[in-house]
Amino acid sequence: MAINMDHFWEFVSLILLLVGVGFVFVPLMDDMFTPAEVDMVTVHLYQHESGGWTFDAPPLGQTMEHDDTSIILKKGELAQIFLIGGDVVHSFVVPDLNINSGPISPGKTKLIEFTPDEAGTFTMFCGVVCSPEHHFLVYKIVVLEPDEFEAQVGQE
Amino acid sequence: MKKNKKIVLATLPLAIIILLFAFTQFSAVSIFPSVSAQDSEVRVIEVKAFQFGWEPEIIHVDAGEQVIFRVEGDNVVGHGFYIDGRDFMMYVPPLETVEVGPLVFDTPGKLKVRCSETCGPLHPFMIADIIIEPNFPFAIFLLSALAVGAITVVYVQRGPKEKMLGVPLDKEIDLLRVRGIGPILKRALQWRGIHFALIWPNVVIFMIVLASGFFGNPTGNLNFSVGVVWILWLTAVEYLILFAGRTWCTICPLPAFGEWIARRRIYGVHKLRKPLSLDRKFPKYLDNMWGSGLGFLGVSLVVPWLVTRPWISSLLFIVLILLGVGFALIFTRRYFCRVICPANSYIGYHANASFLAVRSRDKSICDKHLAKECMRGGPKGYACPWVTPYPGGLTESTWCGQCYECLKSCPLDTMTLKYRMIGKDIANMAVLAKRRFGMAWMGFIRFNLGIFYELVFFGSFWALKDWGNMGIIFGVNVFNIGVLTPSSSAFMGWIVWATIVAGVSLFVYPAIFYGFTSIAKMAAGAKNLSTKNDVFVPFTYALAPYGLFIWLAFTLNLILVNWAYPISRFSDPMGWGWESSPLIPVEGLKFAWNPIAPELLPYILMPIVLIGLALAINTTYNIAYKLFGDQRMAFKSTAVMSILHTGMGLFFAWVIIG
Repeated sequence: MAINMDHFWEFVSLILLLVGVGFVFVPLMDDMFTPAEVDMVTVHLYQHESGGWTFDAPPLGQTMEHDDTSIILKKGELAQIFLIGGDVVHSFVVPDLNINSGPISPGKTKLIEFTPDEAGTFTMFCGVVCSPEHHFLVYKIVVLEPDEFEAQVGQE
Repeated sequence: MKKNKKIVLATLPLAIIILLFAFTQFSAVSIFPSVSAQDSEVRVIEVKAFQFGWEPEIIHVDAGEQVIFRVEGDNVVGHGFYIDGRDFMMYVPPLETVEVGPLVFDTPGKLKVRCSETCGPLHPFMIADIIIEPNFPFAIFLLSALAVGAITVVYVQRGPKEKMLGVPLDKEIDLLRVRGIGPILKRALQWRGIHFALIWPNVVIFMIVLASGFFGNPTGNLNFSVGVVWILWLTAVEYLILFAGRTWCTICPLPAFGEWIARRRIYGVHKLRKPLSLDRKFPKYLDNMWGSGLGFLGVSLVVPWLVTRPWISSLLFIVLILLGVGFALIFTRRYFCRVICPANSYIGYHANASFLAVRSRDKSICDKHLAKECMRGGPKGYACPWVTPYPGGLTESTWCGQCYECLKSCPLDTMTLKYRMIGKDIANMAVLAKRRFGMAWMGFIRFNLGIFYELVFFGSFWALKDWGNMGIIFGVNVFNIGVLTPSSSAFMGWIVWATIVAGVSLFVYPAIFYGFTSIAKMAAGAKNLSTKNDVFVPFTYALAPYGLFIWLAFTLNLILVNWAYPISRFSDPMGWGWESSPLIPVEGLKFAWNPIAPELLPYILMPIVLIGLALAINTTYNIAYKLFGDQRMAFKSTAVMSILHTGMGLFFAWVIIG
């Protein structure tokens, strides 16, 4: 019996269909597009009502605590914070470290670089009124002494 | 000689309009010389920006006057100040005031102030009007609508038989026999894989739509699902209807999954008779235009949410796809498309005003051929999935989904694609459809909503938008559904909105239309016909071309202003800033929002609507001629109906420039 070409094409179509569906879901669900090995913290800026800012932290270097959303930095080492504008205009302000990103429009990005030379906990917040719950957009930057930092990151 | 005269008459309206528009554009300054900059005082206009509108919503300035805009920022979020045709986009920070100017507006007419900084879901529709006095282009628009109406009426008074604006209706091009492209098109359409090959890319896009709608950026214009579906798709479908009939239904992924399951085949024809479904008969009293027509209206009631909240759009698509699979498993054939799909209603209705149609080459061959594979299915193709009673004798495009199964199954090679003048079959169809009220109301809903959307979404009445939007200023994805809780007062506003939308398209306009048809019948002196049973529904078919052209104008406005949003979304579907991030290896399609020729928009939109107006009057005449069988009676009734159609043209002119 010859190969039934109809069944062959049926099979090809089915595979293509599955590939088509998987083509979208697998990469999106995988973290293919998230910066994995880059030595910086990425901050996505969203309104508090929409879940607030979200942080992508790399495994090493600067890191962050997930429970109370704070970025942990190492004293005396260059810190890089990459800001990505989310839904409306926001800005990134840390008064005690003399940082003000200025307004960041949706889709626009900005890299903030600085070297913390003082250990302690600093407040960072949104500096542009962005929603009725704008004033809840308050997070923490924790700068640790090098040995403390190594201990923390080592634990993780 | 006579032919030349007719050509002149047919092109006269267009020529007049072009002249009039040219007049407004080039001679404005010379007629109303602007006061020179030195000796005029600078006027300061205070404008307040907020979500989602500007106060004052209509700004009057004089031509040549020097104006400074003092833009007061919102106390909630940052906005951008942009005026049509100017090369600045001024960021207006919250709680701050920005001065723009001095500016001089030379050309009288209407310009829009638009928000240029994404400020929330309804940001693309945050618009104010600047009316530059003396607004004589408005008068010219009114005159041109009157002129087109009058000239078309004069044209039909001469009794053109079987013609549409001078083009004979019996002239058809058999696309599958055109030299060169014809054989290629025929082979492609008869290839069994064409269906899947066309749907597959849409399945991929559809998956991106679902993923981004649920998990992507909550703000609509930054999200693939809203940007691509409600800007790109909406526009593409309207233009597809005009030039290619129901081609969207050929490539639509929504019913495909169910169809494949029911057929147990994606590619081929299943040899067994029994499909994988209950194969029930669909109740006949539900099998009409009411289901999808009211579905379209229902979707329209929540349209400010639907087209700006990614989560809501994706939810609608999930529901539609599940319904599609469910209907296929119960009824096998495309009853989901026929009675549920909201898009079916308007695509089907307006497909009758399309250039393209699937038709038989020679109906006499089909009638003699007893096997009727197009109805029963054959070895190469299925029976018509759209349950058109007899594809071989097709004279109406409403229920033909252009799936091309009849082209494949027909052993005699009689089915083909025909290119012909708009509205060829409308008259014949309308006279037979005296009691098809579902279709009539579909026409009312579409026609009214086309004008209403132009007024609401590209107009300055922010309160209307706010009512429809229930005052909610946040975008929504799956993580923050909770913000979609309207206050009770906002909900009352929505009731007002829903009453306007449903009331106008279901009751007010149909009542006016009914009044006009009864006068038209009286004017024609057709005493033996009843308005309700004989005249009313046929005359509504004139809205098929008219409504389509209104929507062509509306969607053209949408795409010319907002083209950058959907295009940019292809490199950043989730709206997470991939396109501008150096961290992520995506070469972005980085297009900043940048409207194309926004200051010329009224001059682009109005001619489209005027073509629709001329088509509507001529269609009315063709229908009336078929209905009364007498040229004078047809002309008299057309003259009455043309008053209503021209009136709506005047209203549209007011919406875009008045």
